[in-house]
Amino acid sequence: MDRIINCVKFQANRYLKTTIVFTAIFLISYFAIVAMLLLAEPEGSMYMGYYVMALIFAFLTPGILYKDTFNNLMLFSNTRKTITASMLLCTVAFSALLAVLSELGELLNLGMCRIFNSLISSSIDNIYRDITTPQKLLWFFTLFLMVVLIGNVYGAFNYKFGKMFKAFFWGGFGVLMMLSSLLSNGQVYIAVSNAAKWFFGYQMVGGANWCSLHFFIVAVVLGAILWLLARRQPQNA
Amino acid sequence: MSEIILETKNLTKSYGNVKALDNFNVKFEKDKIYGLLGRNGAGKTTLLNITTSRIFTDSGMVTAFGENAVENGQVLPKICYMPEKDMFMHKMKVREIIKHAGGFYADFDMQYAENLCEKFVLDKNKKYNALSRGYESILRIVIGLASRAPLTIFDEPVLGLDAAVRDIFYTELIEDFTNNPRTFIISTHLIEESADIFEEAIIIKNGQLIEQTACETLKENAHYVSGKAEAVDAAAAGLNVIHTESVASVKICAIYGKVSPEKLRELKAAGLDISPVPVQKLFIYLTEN
Repeated sequence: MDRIINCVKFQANRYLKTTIVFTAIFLISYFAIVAMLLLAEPEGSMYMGYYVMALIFAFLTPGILYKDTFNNLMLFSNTRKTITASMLLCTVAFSALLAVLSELGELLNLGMCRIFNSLISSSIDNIYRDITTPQKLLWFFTLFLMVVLIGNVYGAFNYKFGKMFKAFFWGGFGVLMMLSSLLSNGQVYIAVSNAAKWFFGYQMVGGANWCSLHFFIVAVVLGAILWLLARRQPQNA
Repeated sequence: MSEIILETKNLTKSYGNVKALDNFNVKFEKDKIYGLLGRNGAGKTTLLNITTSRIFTDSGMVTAFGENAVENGQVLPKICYMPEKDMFMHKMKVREIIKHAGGFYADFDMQYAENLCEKFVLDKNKKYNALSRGYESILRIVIGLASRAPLTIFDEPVLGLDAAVRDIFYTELIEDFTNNPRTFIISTHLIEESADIFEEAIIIKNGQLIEQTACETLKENAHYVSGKAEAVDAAAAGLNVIHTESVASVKICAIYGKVSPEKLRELKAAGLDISPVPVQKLFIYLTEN
């Protein structure tokens, strides 16, 4: 258990520093964009909340850190089981942190909307009416849990297959977007984007709690995939 | 024979068509310093990577501290392996890396690590990616020595170090080994200068163990025999000749193996010159194809 805690500390340090930098950059950009919107388009300007940007951040960070983390923790004589367990614990902590920051971002959004009536919030209240704060926190937490794990699984695939995987992933993504917009007058594109919206909880029938459950189940599956990828993974330089 | 702390049985590992290890068997005893020797591609790093579960073997078994070592959470923390390859987080400061390392080894001596940093003039506030090749090696040495792990393994620890710093390393290694006996395995190419610190040399060639013996025995068992070609050929008959060369009518043979003092006296009496083979040369002869 001590080793898992040490592994978590090792990663938490990196996650925390990165999150502070990201949040600082977000806040600077946020106020700059709000100011620009108010000057340029005073009526009905919509701006993005923290969590939308945090989702991209939550995917990229573990994806980028995976290799260094895996190599370093192997270097300090840890088993793959310990490393994966610590990664999962770190994912939980990181998701919780981003959930709290996102809720604070929501409050900031609402506050700004009250001060400047012309702004329209992109809060998740627009997706789920009458959502309570605990529900919202759970929704954020499970959403981040899923996205951070997607990032981790991306990192693990990248570690295993290297540049080939990167080319396949991003190239495939680009080709899919291009083809889907060309096929059937964009109907395929609409179908793909609807599927993506459903996956990320924007069109889920049944409310926020069902959506959180969906995120959690996907996260469990991704956690299992992460372990399967790591358990026999040789160390690469 | 003292306690065996690491043992490999029939290890085989291939990369494509190349066999990096071929039915490799070796035993390491407690509280000894081993030199792991072999040419590039002989299989040294593969052996070390397998014994520390960094990579997996195709077949065979690794036992450490009496247990199966593969992915064993009880065994791996007793092994500190500092590989040649660069594995540290580049943006971390030396101080942070040492602090983190300290959390992973039960007997890590932080004070000793601080002392070593001073001795090697390693700036703890520098980021890892700002270190020169030599200082990267020094950081590995600091962590390896301060870990006080019962089995400490260095792969090419003196890479990029100048002679003076290498000397500090050898002195520290001996001193620390004397005060805190444990097993060291050191893989190196600089055999001549490190031979004196090794108690046993393990020589690998093409993925197979070709020699495991005390360094003293290794030196004692190697001789040059030189003289007229016919006389050298006659003298070398029946001996293990590992190298021959000729200069004009003089022939030089390097022989390896136990030769009785009587036999050596007999060779001298026959007008032949007998001289010791330098360790570096012996290594080259033993590992040449």
